[in-house]
Amino acid sequence: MTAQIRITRRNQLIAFITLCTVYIFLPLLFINTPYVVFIMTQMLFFTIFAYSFNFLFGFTRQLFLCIGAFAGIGAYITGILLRESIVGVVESVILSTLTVGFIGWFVSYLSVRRRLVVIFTGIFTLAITLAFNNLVIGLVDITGGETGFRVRLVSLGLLDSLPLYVRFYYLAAATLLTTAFISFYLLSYTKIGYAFRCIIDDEVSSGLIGIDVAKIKMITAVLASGLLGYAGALYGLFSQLITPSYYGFLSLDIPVQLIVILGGRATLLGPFIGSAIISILNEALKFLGPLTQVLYGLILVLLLAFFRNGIVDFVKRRIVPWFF
Amino acid sequence: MLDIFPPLLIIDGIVLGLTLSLIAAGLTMIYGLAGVLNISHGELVIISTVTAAVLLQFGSPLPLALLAGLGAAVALSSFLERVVLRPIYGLEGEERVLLGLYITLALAIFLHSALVSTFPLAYLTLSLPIPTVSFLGLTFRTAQLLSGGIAATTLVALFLFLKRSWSGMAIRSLTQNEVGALICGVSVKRYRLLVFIIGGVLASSAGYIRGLVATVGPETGLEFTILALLVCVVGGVRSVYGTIIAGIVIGVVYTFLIAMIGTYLANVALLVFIMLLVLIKPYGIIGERW
Repeated sequence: MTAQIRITRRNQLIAFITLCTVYIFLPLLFINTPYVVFIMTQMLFFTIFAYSFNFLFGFTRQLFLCIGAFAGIGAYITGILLRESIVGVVESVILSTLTVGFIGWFVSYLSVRRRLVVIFTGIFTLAITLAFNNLVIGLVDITGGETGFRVRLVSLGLLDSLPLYVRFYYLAAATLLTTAFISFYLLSYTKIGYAFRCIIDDEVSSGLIGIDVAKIKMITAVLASGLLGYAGALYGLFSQLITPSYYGFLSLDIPVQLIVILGGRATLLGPFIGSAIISILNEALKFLGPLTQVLYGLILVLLLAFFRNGIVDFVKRRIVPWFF
Repeated sequence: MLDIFPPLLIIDGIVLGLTLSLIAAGLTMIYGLAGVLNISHGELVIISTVTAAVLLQFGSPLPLALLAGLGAAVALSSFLERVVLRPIYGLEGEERVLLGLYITLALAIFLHSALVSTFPLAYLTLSLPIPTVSFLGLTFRTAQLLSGGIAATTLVALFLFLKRSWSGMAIRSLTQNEVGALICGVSVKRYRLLVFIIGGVLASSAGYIRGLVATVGPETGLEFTILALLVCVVGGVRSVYGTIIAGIVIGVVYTFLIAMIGTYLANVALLVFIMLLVLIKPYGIIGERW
């Protein structure tokens, strides 16, 4: 049994290194076509968002339906601080991360400490999404309302010599791969990872064997929300334009959920596969215009009804056994 | 600070609250009986108003348009119960709640995008001939009184139905103890469909009542859902009576907030208000643990 686990871990490590290599060298192939790099960078950001959602929902079953709102809060804080030249880039990104982390902690605290079930979090975070949208559209003087505002291009230090989109590509790739590596390490080698795997299987029994489920959930919420704030801020700097439509429920939450469900809940590889598929699909379906969202809703319903466990699980269960 | 006389605002709030109660009562009943938190419930409101508005644009008589809208909501609701939600009934516990929420959420997104992109201008406004009525020195809009009256009558009818009729008792028994009710010979399948149909009727009437005092656009479905869900949270899910009280509380608070700080900020303030309320009374005003 232990040997088997070790083999899977080694395989995971190999997969991770392959992933790193691919992500580092892929943009070099397309360095002369900025559009492709732009799409790939966008894909990376969505993978990061999906990672957050995966940790919140997949691993600890906290249904946060406000991924877009959290990322948006991060982006708006950084954007406004930079526009008014109050503090520097680094400070504002840190502030975004901390603020969103705090909000995530508060929501998690409310739902976990009060022992309210999963749908409570769902309702509450959905209301946060609505409140965020209204706030952003309402406070026209500060946020620019529907049209948003532009953010000046910031210097990224050593990366400045690269073409525009490639800079942000590497920044996002570094964030994503670090996140993936840290999650991999945590899940495989530490007590927290053990607790995670117990909680995925059964919350009540993990409580009975002495795992502090509430604490794990709250820690996850802080870290995942912080990541959302950070990635949202970077996404704002990358797109150089911050408008409510970028961070809306339909434009950010739904694709992220599709990515997580398609790739596989509670898996580390899932978001990578899911986001690659969704990005390609999104480009292929561009001609449909607003109908894409109709299609996404339909795909989500079908996925949930018939393909709930995602690609990673499907491969593990149906395809791998053929070879062994 | 307030431009309008407070009593008028209170009436406005009560009317809005009763409308929300109608939507939330359907949500509560469906959650209690089928274990599904129906996120697409607000879209039922929109389906009926859009159908009615489109038919009215084509010159059909008002009663026919309203009936067709009602029919559309009921049909969609039954379709949701019989076809869309079929995969979840085999599941148990949290998995079931989660998947139900997700499927209805996806359906809501689907309906929302489909309605907004197909009928972007299907606004429903039902205007009445006599605009105002004077009473005790105050001027009321007839529409407000009428819509408040209709909403209250519908809620009383719902109350009587649940308390007195055989079907109502069956629904309540299933909500309280499904196995016990099954042993007594109550069919879950039949009453589940009935509850969805009642939910559809209530949602559709809520849409029309809102149409009497305001304009209902095709893009407001999610907002209706979220407000109704908040009403459910405050009222305590599973308690229809709690929902009615909570609806009025939230309606009045929301209307006052809108008058004081504007629509956009009112949403945020309402959320904070509800968060505090949940911190103090986690199980709703008179609801039970859920």
